[in-house]
Amino acid sequence: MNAITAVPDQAAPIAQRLPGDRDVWIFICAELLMFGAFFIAYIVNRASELAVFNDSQRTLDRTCGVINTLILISSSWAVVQALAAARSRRPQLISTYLGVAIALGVAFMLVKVFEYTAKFEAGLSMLTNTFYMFYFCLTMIHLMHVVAGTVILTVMWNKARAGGYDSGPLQGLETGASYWHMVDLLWIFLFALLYLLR
Amino acid sequence: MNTLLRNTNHRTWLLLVIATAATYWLREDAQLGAIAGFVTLAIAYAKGRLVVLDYMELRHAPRLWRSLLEGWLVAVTAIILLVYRYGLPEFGGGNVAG
Amino acid sequence: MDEKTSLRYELISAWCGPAFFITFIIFWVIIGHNLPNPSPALSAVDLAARYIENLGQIRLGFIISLITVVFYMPWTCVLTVQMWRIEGKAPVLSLLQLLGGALTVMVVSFSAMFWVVAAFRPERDPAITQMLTDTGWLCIDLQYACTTLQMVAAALVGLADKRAVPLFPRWVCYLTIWCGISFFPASLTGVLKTGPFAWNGALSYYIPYFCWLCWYTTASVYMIKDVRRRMSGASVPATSRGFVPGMSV
Repeated sequence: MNAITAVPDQAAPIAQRLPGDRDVWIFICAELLMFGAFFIAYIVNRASELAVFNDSQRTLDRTCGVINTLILISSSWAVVQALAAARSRRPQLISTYLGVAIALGVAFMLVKVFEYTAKFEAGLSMLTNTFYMFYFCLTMIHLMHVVAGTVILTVMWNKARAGGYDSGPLQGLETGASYWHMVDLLWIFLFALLYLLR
Repeated sequence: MNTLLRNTNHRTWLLLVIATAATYWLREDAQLGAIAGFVTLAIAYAKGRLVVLDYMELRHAPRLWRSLLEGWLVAVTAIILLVYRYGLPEFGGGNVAG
Repeated sequence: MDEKTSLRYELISAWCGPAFFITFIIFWVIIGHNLPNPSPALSAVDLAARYIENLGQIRLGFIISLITVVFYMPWTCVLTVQMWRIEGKAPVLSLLQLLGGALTVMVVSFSAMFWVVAAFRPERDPAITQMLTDTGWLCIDLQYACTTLQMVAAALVGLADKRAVPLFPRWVCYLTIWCGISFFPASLTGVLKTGPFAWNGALSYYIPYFCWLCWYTTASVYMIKDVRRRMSGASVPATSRGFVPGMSV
């Protein structure tokens, strides 16, 4: 441990370094704790109403869930590519990749709207039963994070197009990327819990 | 294909896609029963770890931060697994009142 | 007013933060029987019985809460002044924070007042008592956005604070924004009567209220530190020092 702290940050490309703003990582950890509480609340309630949860889960559109998982995974990938482009100083690629990530973020929202509409038309709402209460609450809270993340990506996209990441530090870009990956990470668990676990 | 596998970003993306497809297939195959649940959770953990280590670039982050995020993954997965196991019908789950 | 007196009022106002926190916990949470709070799924008769059983304490708790809630006001004022100093000529966010804090007091007051009214005539039709209880809880749980704005405004100014020793550390600012966001599930209390998102649930009650008080106490600590720092800078005599524990300027 002493040896590690003695090495300055710039010593090697693979030196121990936290990407982005350390203070935003505290925010991310707080978000993770909050969603951790959501997940635990879900699984505990599920244990006492197993039949309701399993029956209701069958009525979910699993294809929508899979598509949304692939969308977020790919969107995260595009953000990683944008960061790589910024680090290797290929400015025009940064905004292209960020544009792809934003488009995928919007696609996620559209799939979700389609899914919600189908549920409402089938007469299902968060008052239907405990499963649907969790389904709507958790996915809506997550959707708000997707919207916020897409706004952050759009701000970064604007800055990239104005040449904001052509030189100088990339901390802002790294920070926004970390937030977007968190949105992805949370969905991976939501998808497994709501759509798959039976 | 070679470049696809040599680039960490592309490789992580491919692994995540394969893992997602695997969980989808697991659900289609109803015969596996409870094992499918455990595997689904294990895959979710593995996917989460890939996102944390490769996408979030915490593989080479200071130990504190890496262990914070990895600790969250382990804790959340472990609690879900535990409650899931005791919620299974063969362990008397589903009959618990309240 | 000379600077010394002015600073002393600032310090007293900042200490109203801990005063609010302690009195809120004692009167609103413990004596007011809000730990645990009544379930929205409770029948009107059971709810009325809950009032009758704890009548004295519920009355005492909320009537005193209605007085001590105003500790939030001087605290909000000192935060406004501290933010104003950072913001300069156009203190939009400072004033927004001031409004948010003032309205938070009204939201908390009105909800407690509805419960006092509910406890006023315990012998009346339980359905009316239930309605007053509902009104109180939905009043405090659905109108959190005023407080969220107060918190976000404080956090944004805190993040823009480029002084050598800022009012709030950056992590406190991000945590403030997160705490403000953590209130959002409380909106579901307007629809749900059971489960973790109902007004007695972990995700709509315990976590958001904990976050609110957590932000409030953390901010108080840094606000008091800020005043103490300026007091030592203004070479105030040692008499006003020494009663703030844990201070190292």
